[in-house]
Amino acid sequence: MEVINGGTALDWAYAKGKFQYTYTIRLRDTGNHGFLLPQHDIVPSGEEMFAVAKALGGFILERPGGPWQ
Amino acid sequence: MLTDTNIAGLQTVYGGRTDNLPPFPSARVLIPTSHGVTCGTPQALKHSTRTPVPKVTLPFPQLRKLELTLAGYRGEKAFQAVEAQRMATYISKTLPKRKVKPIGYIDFHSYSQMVLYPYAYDCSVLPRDAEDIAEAAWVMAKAARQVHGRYFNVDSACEGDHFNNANVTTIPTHTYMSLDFGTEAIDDGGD
Repeated sequence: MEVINGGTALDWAYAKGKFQYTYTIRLRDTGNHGFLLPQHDIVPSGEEMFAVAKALGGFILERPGGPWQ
Repeated sequence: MLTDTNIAGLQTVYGGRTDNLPPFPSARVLIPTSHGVTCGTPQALKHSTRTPVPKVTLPFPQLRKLELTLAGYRGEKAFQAVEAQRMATYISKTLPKRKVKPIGYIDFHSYSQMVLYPYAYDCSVLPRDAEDIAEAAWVMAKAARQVHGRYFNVDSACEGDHFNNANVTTIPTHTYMSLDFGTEAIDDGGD
């Protein structure tokens, strides 16, 4: 279940900022701790997001006719 | 939701002052996220079929204070938050000045383990290259899962937006501000 409201930064970056790929990532966890993420989850969460950023970069680079060309 | 305990708890935490908010925990948000966005003005959202929610002002000062603790609080006007304003300036002025062409934008939030793509405002409008965007989202979710095995769901950001329901506690002004720290005081994570 998603709780994002109308008119978020996601929409603005996409429609006005002219980014081709815009995402809202929701980090750990799934609600047990909510906004208060336990200490031992912080570094793994960062590692996951580093992988996510690399994956998006790789996807864009491999895309034929993509916006970098 | 609107109980005496909540209000009392809020006043205890913030000393009765809503402008006395705690510092932003840096581990929670990796990039200063911006939420100050005007609904409906982007060109692509012109054909939106969603009915704009009328603005509701809560009648009592105590309740208005409570607005700030709601995850759905969007501020009083667009770009009210400094973070949102700076981010918008960076994207719309600084980047063009440096002749940088924007390609990818990631907004990091806590929490739910999801990758969400546009639009958040209305499901009836599909983004250009919707398939491409969703595909990249799945690639990102898979990459995240491969690190520690945590499952990340992929969805359009508009799905299940229960804050858009016109109930009294939804404050439907035109921006969504990062006031998540307000919710920490009274929320058990179920919201």
